[in-house]
Amino acid sequence: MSTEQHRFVVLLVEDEPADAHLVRAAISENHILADLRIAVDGREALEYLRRQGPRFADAPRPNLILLDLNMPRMDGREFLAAIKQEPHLRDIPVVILTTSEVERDVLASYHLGAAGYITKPVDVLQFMAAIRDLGDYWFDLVRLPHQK
Amino acid sequence: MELNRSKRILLLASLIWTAVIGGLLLWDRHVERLHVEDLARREARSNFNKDLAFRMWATRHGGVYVPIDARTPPNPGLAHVPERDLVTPSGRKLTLMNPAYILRQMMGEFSEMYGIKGRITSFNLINPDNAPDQWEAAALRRFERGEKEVFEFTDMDGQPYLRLMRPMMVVSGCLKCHGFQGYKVGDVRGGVGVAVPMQPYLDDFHASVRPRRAILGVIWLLGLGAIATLVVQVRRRFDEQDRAAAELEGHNRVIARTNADLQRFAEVTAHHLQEPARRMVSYAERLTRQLDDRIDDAETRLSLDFITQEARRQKNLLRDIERYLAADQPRDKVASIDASQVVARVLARAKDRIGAAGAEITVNELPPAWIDAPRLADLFEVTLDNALQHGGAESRRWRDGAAVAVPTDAPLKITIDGEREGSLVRYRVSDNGPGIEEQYRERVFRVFERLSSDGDVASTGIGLAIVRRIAESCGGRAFIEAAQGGGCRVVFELPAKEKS
Amino acid sequence: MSERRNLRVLIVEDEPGDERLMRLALRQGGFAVDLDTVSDGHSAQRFLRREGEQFAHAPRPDLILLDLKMPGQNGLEFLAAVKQDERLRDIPVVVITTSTLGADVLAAYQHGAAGYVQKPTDINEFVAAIEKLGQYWFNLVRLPENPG
Repeated sequence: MSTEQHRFVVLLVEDEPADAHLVRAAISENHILADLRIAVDGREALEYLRRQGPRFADAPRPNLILLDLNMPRMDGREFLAAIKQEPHLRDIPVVILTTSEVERDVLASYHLGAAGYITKPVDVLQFMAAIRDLGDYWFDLVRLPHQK
Repeated sequence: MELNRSKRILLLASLIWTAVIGGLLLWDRHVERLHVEDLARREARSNFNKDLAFRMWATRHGGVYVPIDARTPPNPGLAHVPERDLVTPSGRKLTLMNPAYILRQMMGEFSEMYGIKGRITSFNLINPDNAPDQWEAAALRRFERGEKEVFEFTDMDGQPYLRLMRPMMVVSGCLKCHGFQGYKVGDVRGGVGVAVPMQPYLDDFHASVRPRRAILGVIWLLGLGAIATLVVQVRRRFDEQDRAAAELEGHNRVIARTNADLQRFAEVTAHHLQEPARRMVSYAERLTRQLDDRIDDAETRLSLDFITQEARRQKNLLRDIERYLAADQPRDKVASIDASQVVARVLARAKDRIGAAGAEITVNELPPAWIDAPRLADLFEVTLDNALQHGGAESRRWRDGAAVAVPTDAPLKITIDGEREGSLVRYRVSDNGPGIEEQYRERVFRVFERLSSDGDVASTGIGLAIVRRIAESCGGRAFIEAAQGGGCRVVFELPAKEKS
Repeated sequence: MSERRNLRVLIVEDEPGDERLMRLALRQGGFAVDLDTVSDGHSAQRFLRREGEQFAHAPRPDLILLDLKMPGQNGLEFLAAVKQDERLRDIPVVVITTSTLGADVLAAYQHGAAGYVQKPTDINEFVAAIEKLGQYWFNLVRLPENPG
């Protein structure tokens, strides 16, 4: 799975492997040409984006970040606030992908600069459709910065 | 009761009690005194009258002649009276005794027997011994001014006396001896009086009052004791009550805290357990899809089906448990909510389920209810699901403890209507299914109570419990009745507007 | 979930033709939206802040579609102003413009845009693009509750 085959890089920040795998499967089954990278929480995601440590020395810059909210160590809100402060990271669009339906979380996410908030559908088929629609918008419709 | 308060009450009660006893004491003394004085007065009067009667008698006679002897020498004061002394034909010598003289001798010789001694006195004296003392002089002057009697308690030589005195008027008989003094009939000649020693009376008074005073004193002490005991008892009771109340409050607080802890724990648990349940459902469905065309073995297929089914059931159970726990609290602003809009949204969300059951839904005009929109939506969603599950084409009836399949040909029709009745609003969700027998209509509202065991995943047995909990937490109620045509009708009542 | 009303979209666009196309496309997509239009950045700001008699009762939009090339205050300045205003920053802004410059794209995202759509020259493609846009913002993602 080299980067050449993929037009986009998506960074998924999600702590639950089962949920992360579902995103991977959905991207694949919707034939979205994206290289999916996974960070298990906000801290690891920041390390990835800043290319800190030997693991992330060559980490490709994501075109889109899919962000869960409730994670250990550093949760989604903290992470979002952090990267929107950094000049060379703030232009990466962030879409929240979470189980939380709480209005407070929705408002806070947009307030911090999220470009979308998706409550994970329970039904797998609906989940697949949601990922497809996500891909349609970010990879078909809009232009992204630093796009190849 | 605090210490100060009870002390004050004790003091006040004691003062009142003392005042009462003191009052009784004083009143007793007063009455006794009056009685004693009355007795003294009577004695004075009777003695006075006797005295005066004698004097008047003697005066009427002009005196009384008695034999002269050593004890009865002629009265020098009567020297001017003709025939003061007489000799009887037999040679006995007699002399005239005037009333005062008689009395003086009588009082002298039979002093004890005579008792209370009276006195005549005047400003114009024949016998200087009869001179008035200060009190008598004052009385005489009052007689001159016209008073007819002086009756007073006064002291004589330091001893208490009751003194009575009246003016003595000149009658014709007086002139025999006193005419030379210039009196005329009707003049005030002097005064005649009597002095009753009060000491014996006072002694009696004290003797009489003393035991009663002692008794009152004892009663007073007993009363104080009773008051003190009473106050102490009452205070103790109050203290006990306060202690018991505080203990009760303490217990209640602990219970409330424990309840809140348990509730919170249950809510958090239900919420967190839903995550893995949700993932299991996702992957079970995914696995089924992935393997669908690759499974030949019915056994394998069955295992997969059961896993999927149970995963779904677990997810639904947890979702419903969470809904049940949250049922008693509003999840959004409580207001007058348009039920028609809410039902429209619920029906939109349930489109697939309605289609799968082949049901025909009729919604009539619905009045608004005073509740939060999320819970109103829950009420309709749960009752709708209930109707979809149990009113369906292949339904079973719970009869005599066994499930009996009752196939129905009629398509499932669900009707939703509502009406306003006074201060509440009543919604009805009816189906044309087999209905619920009367004996089970209360049971179904219990948690985990289901009427069929056909492995229907969607039916958690909590739905109706949620409906009732929501309704009752708003001050309403929920119950089941038979719909027209025998189907099931779930009715829930909610307040129509805010309770003022 | 309070009463659902139509979503409100503020279109900041000075080209009447493009504006009409956007309206048409949104209607065609079957999206339940109400539209307001202003033709430059200054008016847009006054609209959002309800300044002046004209905009005293202007409704708060759920989404802003922004053209970059406009007279008066240009789109980027307007975007920056909105994203710096605490009360307005949670309204997502999607740039819909003719510019194909990478610098404009980067700048838009840097200032907090939630998408950058290059206006297709073909009318049908334009309509299709707006429909995809509507699908993302009105059907897929959840927007914060709008107090009005």
